Amino acid sequence: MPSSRRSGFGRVLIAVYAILAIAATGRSVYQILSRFDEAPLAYALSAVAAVVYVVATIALAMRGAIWTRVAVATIGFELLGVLVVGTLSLTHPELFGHASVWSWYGMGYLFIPAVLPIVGLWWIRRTERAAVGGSVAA
Amino acid sequence: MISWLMLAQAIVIAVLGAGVAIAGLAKVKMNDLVLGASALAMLSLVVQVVASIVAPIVGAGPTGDLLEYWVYLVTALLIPPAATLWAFADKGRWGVLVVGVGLLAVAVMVYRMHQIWFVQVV
Repeated sequence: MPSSRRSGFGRVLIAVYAILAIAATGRSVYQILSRFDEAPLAYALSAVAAVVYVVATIALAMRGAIWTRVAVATIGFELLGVLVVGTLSLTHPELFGHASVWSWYGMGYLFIPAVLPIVGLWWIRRTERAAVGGSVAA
Repeated sequence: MISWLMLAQAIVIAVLGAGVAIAGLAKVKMNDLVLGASALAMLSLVVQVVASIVAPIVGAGPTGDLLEYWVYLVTALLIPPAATLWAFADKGRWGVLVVGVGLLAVAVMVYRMHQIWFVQVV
């Protein structure tokens, strides 16, 4: 089905999400295990971000209206996170100036965390529209 | 652990990843070369695992954090097989692009691993 969220370009999108999810999870686990005291706030946030990426990846890959909502909510949260934490890492480096997926707008990850939520939301909108359009046409 | 060899590994995987990704963008379908590139990256990481176990034993440990290094290595090791499996549902260009993107991510990780092992500035 071409309108499915996980076919075509969606396959690449979900793959990028999955890579970011495991990269963020790996880094977060390491930070919490080894140096949590250095920046509890930044590293706790790092863990939250990792969980959100994992849920977003799963939600994108699943079918159904509920998963679409979960995907929109988690990806929206990511966009908010990267903008807020990205800004805070510049204005309050003592609290947020530690390597996390959202610091400096995701610079440590080639700014992919800033671009990906926008692409993700676009893709959901496009596939949802195609699904609605398809059922009307049929 | 040999510094230039590890950098060469990162560069080779990056070139393979870029080549596969470009093939995907050019609408090349899934083929043995793509699978071979993924297998080669995977194989080089398995060698890396062995080297990473042996090196500290013979007294050539990392300058950075060994735990952080292993987190990267294990993650990198998972990517080629996972990307290839995920790509198999789409044997057209998108599947090829998935493998390419996966290999590029592995290349970045190997580069980071090199930094952790050799040029840690703490």
